Amino acid sequence: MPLPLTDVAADLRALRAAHQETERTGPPGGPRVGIMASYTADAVVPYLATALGEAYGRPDFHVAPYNQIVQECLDPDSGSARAGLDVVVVAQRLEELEDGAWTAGLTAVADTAREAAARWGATLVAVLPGLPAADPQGVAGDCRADGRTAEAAAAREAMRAALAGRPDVHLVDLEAVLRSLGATRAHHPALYQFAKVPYREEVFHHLGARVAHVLRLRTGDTCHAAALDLHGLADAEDVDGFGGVLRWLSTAGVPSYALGGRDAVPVWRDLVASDPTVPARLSDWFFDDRGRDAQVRGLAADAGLAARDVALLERREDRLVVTVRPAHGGQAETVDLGADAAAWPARLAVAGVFDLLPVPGAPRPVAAAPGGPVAGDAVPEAAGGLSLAAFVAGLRVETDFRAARPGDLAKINEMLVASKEFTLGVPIPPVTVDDLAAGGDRVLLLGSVRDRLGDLGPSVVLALAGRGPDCVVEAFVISCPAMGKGVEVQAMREIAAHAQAMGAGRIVVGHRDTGRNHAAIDFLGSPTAGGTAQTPDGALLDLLVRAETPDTEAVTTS
Amino acid sequence: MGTAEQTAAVPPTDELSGLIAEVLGVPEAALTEDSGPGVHESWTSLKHVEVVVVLEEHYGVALSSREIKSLTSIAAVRKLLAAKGADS
Repeated sequence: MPLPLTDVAADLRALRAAHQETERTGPPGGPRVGIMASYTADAVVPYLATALGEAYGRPDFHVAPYNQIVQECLDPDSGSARAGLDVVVVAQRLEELEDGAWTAGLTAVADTAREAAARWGATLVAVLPGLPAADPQGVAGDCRADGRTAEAAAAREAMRAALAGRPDVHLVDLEAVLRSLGATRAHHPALYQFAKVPYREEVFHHLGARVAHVLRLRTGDTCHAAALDLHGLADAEDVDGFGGVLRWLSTAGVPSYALGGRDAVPVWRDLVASDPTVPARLSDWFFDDRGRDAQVRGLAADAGLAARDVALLERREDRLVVTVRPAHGGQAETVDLGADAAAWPARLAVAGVFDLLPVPGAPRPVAAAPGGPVAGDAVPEAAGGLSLAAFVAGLRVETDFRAARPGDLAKINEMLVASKEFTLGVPIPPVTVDDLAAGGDRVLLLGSVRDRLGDLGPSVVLALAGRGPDCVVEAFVISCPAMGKGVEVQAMREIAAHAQAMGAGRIVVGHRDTGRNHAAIDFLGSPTAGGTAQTPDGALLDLLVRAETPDTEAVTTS
Repeated sequence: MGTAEQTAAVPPTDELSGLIAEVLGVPEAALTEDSGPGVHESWTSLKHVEVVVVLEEHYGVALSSREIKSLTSIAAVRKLLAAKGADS
């Protein structure tokens, strides 16, 4: 239940290994947790899983393709829509939104995610984006009311206002993580450039912990009272530190109790002498011969609580340690507030031991229809009128296809190997210059994609071969940044146009399920593909989609 | 300890290959000096990111995007770490 402190190094490798180990223990029995982010957020999974601990059974994660939050939310056939999610974590970075329109963009994402979660009957955990790392205007940006940081702050608060206080919606602030770690320790520009991973592992660790924290708070996994064991307080600095902790608890509204054996009475006197308001800040105090456990049980009973609702603060050697017992049972968890007595109150606050979620003021939304949306349902309109079609149209995506040239081969072969999400999964040998020169009924196409947010560059590879009356699609690859933007449909039209030019009456697409290429398989089986493929001039060609196995003869390009 | 000159067919058995095997979730013996992203089936692009994270954590190095792209095999990783003064 306590949050990890950012100034205490955690063994992240051990956490990842522990998660990897639990993944081998059989099928997950816990909640289905969906992760949708505008960046590559897979790294949060092991930390969220371990932070949820044994509270709910091992979670089953579904990580959506990156930067497709709105599409995943609006498309009734998306992987997230069909995953039966209990929890949806949505993390949109401002940097992936259109410049100058952060507030509108972020609010649209928030509304779309909230409505999707309600339709799916899932709890939404929305991540408030961090402030961008660098302001291109430098210090001058600080002086501008319409500067980048000002706009980011406004967008964040608009998102908070749109979601705060709603039932089944919780907010987690990524900026709190970035601030506590520091920008240099938080961002990873090289990994972002390489794989759209903007943050270092520590960020994902603490983000996962915060998401888990709100989910555990949701089920009452928090402490409602504090027991301060005065035994072992050594000197005036300790007494001052304890006094500070007590003042913080009092301000936070946490009922607090001092306890100890008879030998703690002198410390109690020092505490009261240093701060005469101490007795008024305490609900009660006990200094007697009962054991500590008996004292805690007694004060809990007096307060109408269970003993596990009481956090115990005690001196261990030169440190102050808080022990809490999870609501679901299991082993007690501890948080080490360190040896610096002056820092104890602040560290106690950061640990979140006594956090409480606000009670939503709004009524619960109408429950989703049993079974949720089914294939063929019309795409539901969001409250703001945003539909999937409107969203995709608004991206103003343009795809230019052209015949591959020798200079494209390195990029094409890299895409054929590296693309895992939208690919047919049927291995094909690397394309060579000879393949390009072969001509005949063989076509190798490279598609470049751009939208209103920028130029995505070469993003589509199509390899087609005429075989009698058929046009066989040997490769159909779309890179991750171009997925979910209607490029799939444009590529199908391009395939149909070339099939028509070949004189083919049918398009044949074989695929293998690699476990990761469901985006491609789902598209080919979707109503959009629908057993036909339309050429740009409106002609319809039959489309045969067939699943292959590794035993099936591999499609070759030569 | 393995070196960059190690024969490709010889499985590397040292700290570096152990780390990578742990990330990929495969036995160390399943890796060779030629193993790399897109070559070894378990070495997916996501796993490559994890490999980079582990290298940075374990060896205390910072890798540029160009260097990350250059890590096409265990031999290449070894060479880069050596160039950065990290003992793999």
